[in-house]
Amino acid sequence: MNNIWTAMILRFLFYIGLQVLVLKEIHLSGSNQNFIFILIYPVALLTLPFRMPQFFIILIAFIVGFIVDLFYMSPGVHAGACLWMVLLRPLMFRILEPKNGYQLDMSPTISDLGIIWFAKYASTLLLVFFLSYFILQVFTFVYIGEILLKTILSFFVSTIIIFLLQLFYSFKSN
Amino acid sequence: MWRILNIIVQNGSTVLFVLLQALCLFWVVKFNQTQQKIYLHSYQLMVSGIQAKYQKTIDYFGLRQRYDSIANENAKLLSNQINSPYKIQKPDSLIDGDLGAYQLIQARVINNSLEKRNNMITLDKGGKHQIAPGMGVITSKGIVGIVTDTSSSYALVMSLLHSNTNISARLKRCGFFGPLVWNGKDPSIMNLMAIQNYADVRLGDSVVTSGYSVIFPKDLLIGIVDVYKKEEGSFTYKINVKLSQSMTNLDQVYVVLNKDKGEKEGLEKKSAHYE
Repeated sequence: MNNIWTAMILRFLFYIGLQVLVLKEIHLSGSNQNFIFILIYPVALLTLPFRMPQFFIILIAFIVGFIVDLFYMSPGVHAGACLWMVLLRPLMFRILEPKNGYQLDMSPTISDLGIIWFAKYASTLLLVFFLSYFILQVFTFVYIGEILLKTILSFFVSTIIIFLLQLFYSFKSN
Repeated sequence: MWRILNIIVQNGSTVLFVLLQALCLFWVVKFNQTQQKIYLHSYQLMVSGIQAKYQKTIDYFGLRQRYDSIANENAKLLSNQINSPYKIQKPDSLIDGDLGAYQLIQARVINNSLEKRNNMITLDKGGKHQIAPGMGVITSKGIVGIVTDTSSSYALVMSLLHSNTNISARLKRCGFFGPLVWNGKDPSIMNLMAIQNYADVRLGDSVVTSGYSVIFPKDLLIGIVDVYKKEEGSFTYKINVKLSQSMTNLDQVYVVLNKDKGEKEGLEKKSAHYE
């Protein structure tokens, strides 16, 4: 039990560190306004095990978002987006439930439930994350075009990176 | 007791979500309001310690470029020094009395953002290096922002790329002045407002600081006129200014300490008696 917790905390530290120390500094869209934000730490929340109570997941999502916010100097934006994403997590489980149900000791990962299942699950929730992130960041619907453009571009780039990382993990664990 | 906790854990997730989401919204709104409100958020300076250490470790990769920029700056200073005897011989140099009023404190940028509507910068020097709120921040190429808050060894700077930025700027050739603001789109362009449309504006004109405020010294280069057009239905130009110091690659900056600040502000306060 202790081992699982240590592994989980280490994974969160890895993802947050990668996010705030490396990916934060990357500006893909040249010298002008930045449209592509690479945010990959939400996948650490997405792959939390099934049996963990929703109460703790919401608490963890808030803490993780808060720490990232401290580095991005944007109180509440990342934390709010993380909360919206994990709120819809149980709903996605119900919609995507396979015929023979879930096993108790599973996690929603590629190695446990297959790549197609994970693609549907992760891409939907990441889209929710990015949309709520940019709505909270811009905080006005005057720039709705800008919000949508940023959401779509950031979503595609980040999702591709997340999938590559997850595939790498699943190959390693097999 | 354990059972009550259990019930909360099982059913309270929605309540917890609503509470935490409300807290997030509260923060977002509070942070987006005004510059004074940002003052309260100086707790972010706490993480500056980690960022400073990180910056120190990756410094080695950029040593070459920094060496070049410092060498260039040295060369310019040296040329000033060589030229100074000739300048002093000009009669009007005696009028320029504020030569010694400004002192520069060297600092480095350890955190910077571009993509938000209100951008802030963190510097690695603070109160114990004599930096205080209200001081201007410049580089050798242009101006950067205004210090809003300091801790003992870090300072928070309101970047030019902030919705509250309002800097008194002047067109160097024709002398007209007006406020310089940022419209939130392109980090290399700012707008100079309130220039009357009978002013003789030309493309490529230098835009400099006016020296009317105590924050920046007079005649520091800010940028050049990039695009200008008459605004429909008003008597002013719409002028886009291309910043001479790109905000995307800030590293070495100087904080301007004005020794006469208190005196000038004290005198100007008295003007209220005569208005």
